[in-house]
Amino acid sequence: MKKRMIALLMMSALVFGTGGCGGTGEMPEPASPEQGSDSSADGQTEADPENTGEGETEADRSVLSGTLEVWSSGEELGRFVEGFQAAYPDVTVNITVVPNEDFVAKLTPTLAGGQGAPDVFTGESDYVKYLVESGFWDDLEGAPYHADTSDMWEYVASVGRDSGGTLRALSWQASPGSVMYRRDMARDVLGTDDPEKVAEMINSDEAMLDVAARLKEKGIKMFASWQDILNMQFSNRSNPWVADNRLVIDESMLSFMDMAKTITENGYDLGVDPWAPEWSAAVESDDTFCYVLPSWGYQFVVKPSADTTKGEWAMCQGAVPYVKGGTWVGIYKDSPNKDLAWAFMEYCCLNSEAQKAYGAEYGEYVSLKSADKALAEQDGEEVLGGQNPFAFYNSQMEKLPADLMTAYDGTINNAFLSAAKDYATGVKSKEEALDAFKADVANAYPEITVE
Amino acid sequence: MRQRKGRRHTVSKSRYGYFFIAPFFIVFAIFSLYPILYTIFLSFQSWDGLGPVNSVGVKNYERLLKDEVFYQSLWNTFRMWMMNFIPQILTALVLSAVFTFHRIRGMRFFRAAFYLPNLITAASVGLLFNLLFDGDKSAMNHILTKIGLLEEPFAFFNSMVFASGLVSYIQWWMWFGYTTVIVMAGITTVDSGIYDAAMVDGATRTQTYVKITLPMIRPTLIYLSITSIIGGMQLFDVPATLTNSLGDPRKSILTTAMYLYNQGFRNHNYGYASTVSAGLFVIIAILSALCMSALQKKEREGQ
Repeated sequence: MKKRMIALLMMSALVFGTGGCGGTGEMPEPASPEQGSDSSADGQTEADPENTGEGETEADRSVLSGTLEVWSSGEELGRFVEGFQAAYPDVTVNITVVPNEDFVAKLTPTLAGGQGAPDVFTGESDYVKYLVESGFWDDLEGAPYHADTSDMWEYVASVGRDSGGTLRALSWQASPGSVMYRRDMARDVLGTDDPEKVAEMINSDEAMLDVAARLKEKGIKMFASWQDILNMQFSNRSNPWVADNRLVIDESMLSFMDMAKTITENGYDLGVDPWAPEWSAAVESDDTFCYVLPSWGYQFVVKPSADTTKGEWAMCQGAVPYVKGGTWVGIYKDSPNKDLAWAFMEYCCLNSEAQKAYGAEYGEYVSLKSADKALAEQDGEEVLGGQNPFAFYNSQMEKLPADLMTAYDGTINNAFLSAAKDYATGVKSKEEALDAFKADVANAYPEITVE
Repeated sequence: MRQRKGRRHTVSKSRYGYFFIAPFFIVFAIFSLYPILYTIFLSFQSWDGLGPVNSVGVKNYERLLKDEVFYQSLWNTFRMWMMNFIPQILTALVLSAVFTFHRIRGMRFFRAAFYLPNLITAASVGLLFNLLFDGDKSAMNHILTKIGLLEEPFAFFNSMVFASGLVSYIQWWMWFGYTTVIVMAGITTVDSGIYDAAMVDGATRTQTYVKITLPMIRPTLIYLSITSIIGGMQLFDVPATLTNSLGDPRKSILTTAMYLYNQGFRNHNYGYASTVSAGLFVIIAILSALCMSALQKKEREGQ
């Protein structure tokens, strides 16, 4: 109800804002329910420095018209459309949401055939590198776009670059990691629920397992699923899965397998796969301590399900700061609507005001530093007991290691999880599991050398 | 004159026949024949879906012949088909005999109820069974531990035998109603005079069924076996949605169709995926031929 009020206020502010004092930026400051619509329009005079060329935007707005076809693997991108169309009234944005599972299967034949290809399409982290390297996304730093990514988190922009350094994709979101834990259980077992202190207690793999043992004494399972920890270990690697066309099994991946075994043997988790009903239900449980999930995990798992546990959640850093997942977006190289496509992309990915409004409404972490820093100043989240997730995520983004993503990650991660599971449940020895994993990789990608 | 005119009339009339069958052939050519030919073309190429297409000659086929995962997937598919088809045909024969030769109250209801699972989308059936069995607190574990059949929760989806058996069971559950209906339809085509003659000769009900009904519905059984093996060897949605679509646990429910889907659409080896599908086509053709000849041979022996 409150959310709807805010949305209504924002919409009315938007209408007044663009009509009254034209061209002061595309989207108003997120209005709090107390503020009147006029005061939020005033708030825009301090426009962001990165928000380049107000006059140019105004000119574009009157000229641009047409229909833009966008394919997205998730619902989130569609949330920008309303604001965008208020700023560009003559542009119609058709968003087609294709489930992530089928996205590549639908996209590749269309791109290869060239018929009915979308102007703008997304790419999830599992296969974004495949799309980035394919050359079907236009160079965003070249004409006519000249993207300026100085305000974007370096990690986000670096994923959008191909091996030659050309910028192919940007994102409106970033997905820094966290350990989301229950404050009530932390108070009971660890004696504190303060994120800083809890973070200290779980600052290494061994420390996490120690805490898990302490929780077990009280009948609490530390993790929802050990597989979630891969999200974090993925950033703990010093090598990508594939380097110089060779499969590299990083040391941290081997220790992840051992950790998985310890967790399974001691019953530190629920013994289910992520996204199973029981895994999701653990948000409201009385015997599951934490989820090791990045920002989207808060968005899609904890926040929507937290009801009686509202205010009993907090987030802190685990063994290492990490980032996992995310969706990037780029412009089809043969799109006939490149100006429209760019207007939309710029609005979602490079417009700090729009991202601020978006982040304030949906609580999703966004890709521009200026927007995230402004959002960190706001009130905290009710679910998190007043903690501001943006402030926490900002601190994590500063500490991130370099991007180690490859085009093979999706398939290799799945094969690795299968192998780790066989080892953890005692079906195979470590060597057998690793041999099976290597065979799977060789089978999926014959061009990769596997030793 | 008149005769010649008439003849010309008949000739031009036969042309209309082609017009009537043309829509099928046009649609077939565009949506079936062309994709089939293109798949065969692709099976000699290497293609990642977006980059240029490179010819690799017969390399894909050489790989296929040595590909253990391919053979494993074939065996999985065939095993799961056999384990579902044999019980399915037996159930159908028994049920159809009961329904046809006995007056059963509520027969229409049962027939509809047995057919019902066939109307549910296979993918949702897979998901449904996943929800029933996945995890320590799953519905099945809950029930089985409550009534004392299990001491502690069982990791159903870590057992290869269970996962494979469950796929067969789901397939049986979904298809035995359909098979029953088809067998019953076959039985109604048998001339009732033959039964009367058998009765006069003093044949028992079982003898009538085994010696008269079964041989008379052989064409129906041939039809069922061949359509079932073609469908069964292409099995995809139930095993794909039952676990993680990689055929876990340990590839025990990885079917050939899933394997080729993963090779193509997940790993972007479209060329090799086409080769796998060509391989599957050959296997299905061989199995269908075997099936047909086995049943026809029996027919010849019978006569």
